[in-house]
Amino acid sequence: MGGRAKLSRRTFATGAAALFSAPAALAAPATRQVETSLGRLDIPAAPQRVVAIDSRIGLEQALAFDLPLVGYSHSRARPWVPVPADVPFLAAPPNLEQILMLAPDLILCPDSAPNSDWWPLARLPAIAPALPSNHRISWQENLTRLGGWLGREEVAVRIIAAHAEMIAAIRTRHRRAVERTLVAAVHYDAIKRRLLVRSAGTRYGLVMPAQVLAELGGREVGADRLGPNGEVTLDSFGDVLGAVDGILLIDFGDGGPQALAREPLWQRLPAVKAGRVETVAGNCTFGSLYTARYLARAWDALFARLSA
Amino acid sequence: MTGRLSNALIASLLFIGAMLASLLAGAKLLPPSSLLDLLLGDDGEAALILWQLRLPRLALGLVVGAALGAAGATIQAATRNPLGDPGLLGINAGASLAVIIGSGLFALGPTANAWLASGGASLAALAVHAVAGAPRGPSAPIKLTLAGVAVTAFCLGVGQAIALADPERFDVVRNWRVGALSGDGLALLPAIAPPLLAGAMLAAVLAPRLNLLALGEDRAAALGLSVGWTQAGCLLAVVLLAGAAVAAAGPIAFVGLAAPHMARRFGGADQRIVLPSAALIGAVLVTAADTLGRVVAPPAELPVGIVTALIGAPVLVALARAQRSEA
Amino acid sequence: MPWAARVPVRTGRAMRATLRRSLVVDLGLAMACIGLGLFSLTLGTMPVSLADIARALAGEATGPVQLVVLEWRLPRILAALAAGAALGMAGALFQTLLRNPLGSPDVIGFDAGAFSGAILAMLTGAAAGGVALASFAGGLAAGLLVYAAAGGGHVERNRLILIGIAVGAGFTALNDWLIFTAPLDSALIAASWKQGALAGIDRGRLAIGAAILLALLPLGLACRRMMDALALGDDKAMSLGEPPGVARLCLGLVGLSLTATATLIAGPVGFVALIAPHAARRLARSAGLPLSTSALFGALFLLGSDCVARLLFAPRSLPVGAVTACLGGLYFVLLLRSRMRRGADS
Repeated sequence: MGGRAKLSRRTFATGAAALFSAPAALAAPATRQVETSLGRLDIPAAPQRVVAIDSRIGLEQALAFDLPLVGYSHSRARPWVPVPADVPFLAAPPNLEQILMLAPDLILCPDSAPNSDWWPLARLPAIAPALPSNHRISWQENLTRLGGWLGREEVAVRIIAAHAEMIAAIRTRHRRAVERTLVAAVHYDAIKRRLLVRSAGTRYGLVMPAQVLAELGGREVGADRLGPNGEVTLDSFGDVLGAVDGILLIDFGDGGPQALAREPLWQRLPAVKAGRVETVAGNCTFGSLYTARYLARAWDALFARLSA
Repeated sequence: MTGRLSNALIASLLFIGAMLASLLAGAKLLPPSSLLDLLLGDDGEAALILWQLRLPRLALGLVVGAALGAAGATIQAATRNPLGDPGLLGINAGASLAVIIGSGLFALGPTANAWLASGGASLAALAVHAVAGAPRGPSAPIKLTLAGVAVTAFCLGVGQAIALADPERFDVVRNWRVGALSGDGLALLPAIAPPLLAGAMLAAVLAPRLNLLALGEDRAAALGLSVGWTQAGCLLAVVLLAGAAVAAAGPIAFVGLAAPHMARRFGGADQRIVLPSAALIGAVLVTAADTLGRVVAPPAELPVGIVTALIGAPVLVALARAQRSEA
Repeated sequence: MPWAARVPVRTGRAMRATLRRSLVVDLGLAMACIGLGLFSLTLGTMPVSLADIARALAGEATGPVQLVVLEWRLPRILAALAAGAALGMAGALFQTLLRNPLGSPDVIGFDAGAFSGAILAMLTGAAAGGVALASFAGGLAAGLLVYAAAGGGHVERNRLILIGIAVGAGFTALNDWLIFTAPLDSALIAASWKQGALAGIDRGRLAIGAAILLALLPLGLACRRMMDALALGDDKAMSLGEPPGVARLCLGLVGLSLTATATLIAGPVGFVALIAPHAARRLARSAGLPLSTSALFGALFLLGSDCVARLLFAPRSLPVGAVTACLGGLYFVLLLRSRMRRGADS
């Protein structure tokens, strides 16, 4: 108990020092005025302490612009997102006081529900200027928008161009497969025994596997044959996935693929019989450039199988 | 007597109809004409759906429904509570919390979960009776039911806190809160068989004694029945049955309430007849509700627990309005 | 167990003693609320000294202290107190009305109705104010549905409870279905809201809720006479000049409005309305359910639960609904132990 109290006092000292030095930083002319959906904001021209509320988009964006992160929330960073080891995972749902004590000078937060516990965008400006991201537009649009606000459009342009190059290379490598074959990215819910298709636009949101597949120009199963969140029950596996040539199987580490392997109706899908299933580890449903890159490699591997 | 006979005839027709519909309906409809071919042997996709999905699912629905119906019949007779239902009495919620803890926090498999669910069901049943203070008299059913609702609220609150601790776990657990028959019947049935059979046998053995109990506790005691032991045995049977049902399908409300009432309406009050007929009716109800849930909004499925609750709630209102006044 | 049924006729002196005791208890609870409220201003991830809090309350603080104490902690504490008081009083009203110690508004379906309203508002993308109003409307709708399904005020109590449970089960199924099919983010937000909305309280919502409560709480206290009359039985109530049908309707409407307002402020937090009247009756040792004591205990209980929720795993916070559920469960266990010691008195 004593140790904890001491620790929190020390943290406070650091935080307080940063807090009280903040006005000095503001006095310097190093701010930019930007226009967001929340109105006009003054943000630091060179942010020193950045908090990303959502690990799936703000975190990846902050790393992309090389912003100095002091913490992030929502869920633990995925293994393919290069977070420095000293950036802490904060309380989830976010604890405003904890964020305040980190004395951030910029916060990145999705605008999905500004009054919610999980994405409290409406309350963040009291701590520091908050820049929104939006789950309904593509990761490139989000990145470009943020780049514009930060005055670093060129970084966004470079990242997007490098990604486009990677996508183009995959397309050239597997042109026939990409154009001719039908593919799907799926996650298996072993408890309710249903597939959740993540390569099509559904009510679930603008999911990354679908975005990257669209960039590649691949062909996916139509959302009209899926449930509202992309569900496919076992008995319509054949109807929905029978014509699919290759499947990207997303493994959340919850035993899904192992359970799926025991289902005869999965086993008899042509794509599975032919061994054209590529497993990709980790929850890559939402994200930004790193997840996009990770998924591009996964699709690349699947199309390589399909070309073989 | 002819009334009985025609009732039995209607019941068996409904039973067969529900079974057939359950085999054929779903996101993929199987043509009725092909059923015989499929059953006799064909190794196409349709046969696989029938053998791997529909038949195990039908079996699971029948077993879960029968367990709930038998549990309801036993608890209604043992506590002389016309509102006895594993869902209303918090037993389902206790079992479901145990399963959320077991699979959500400790990643346990179906066999462990079946016993864990029975354990959770017993704790909830004990808690309900303790909170209600082992009430007697005409308002005992209401007291027990309210205690059940309070215990349910407790279990749901704790379960939800576990689910909400991690947004990714929540995405999965939000689906477990409602009962559904989409689990793997072939794996689940053997797993839940031991508690289920034990509960069913216990309920069957105790059924004749419950007829004595129906005369009133004092008269039953005067006739040589050990009331306390009988009630304890019945409660044990109920938690075994309901726990197994929840472990296999999640919480399904109202079946345990409605089935015994319908059974008594068809076949009189003799517990030796009520018990098996409630089990049969429960099996039909769950199968029919599951089939309905599969055809209303394809390709998505409406979980059976939601179908029974949406149908059962108005039924309970009607039952409450029709019931004789009991101050 | 139906305590309201056995209100003894007391002699003047005993009555005065009870009155004095309940005044003392009320005063003690009020002090405890204020004390815990002030103390909990110091609790949180950011350490704030008592001196800083005094300065903040005097309006002299600036910067982070002003933000944390006046903008975040104070509204949340006031909201917990207000919603807890409303729930405590509503619980006492309903438990008297239904003559059942478990007949609280959350058990008989109003919370489920409020949640339905809130989810529907969230799924259509309404702002916080809209969600709060929708939950208010949902709770009222559930209450009126129960009243209508029960065929007006003429139905006998136990049937009313049963109908409430049934309506609650129906709404719960609807809620489960909505959460089950909603997109992940909406489902997560809705499920979080169900377990308490204190974290997201803002001054506007608190002001609206507090304004309604300022009107309702005195109205509730004025129901005292009707409650006592009803507790004596319908015939007696009639002879005392309180037509039982009218009295029941009044109590029900006031209780329902209190519940809906509490939901507007704090979300559908369970167990407060259930526990507060029990505890109040034990503290005040009164025959009936003391309304003011119940309201004060409710306020203290919800504030205490919220402190536990904020601090137990700090900096992570727990849903306050889970804390009230656990504390409520614990209370039942204690109740049971004392009952076992005294021997069953059903």
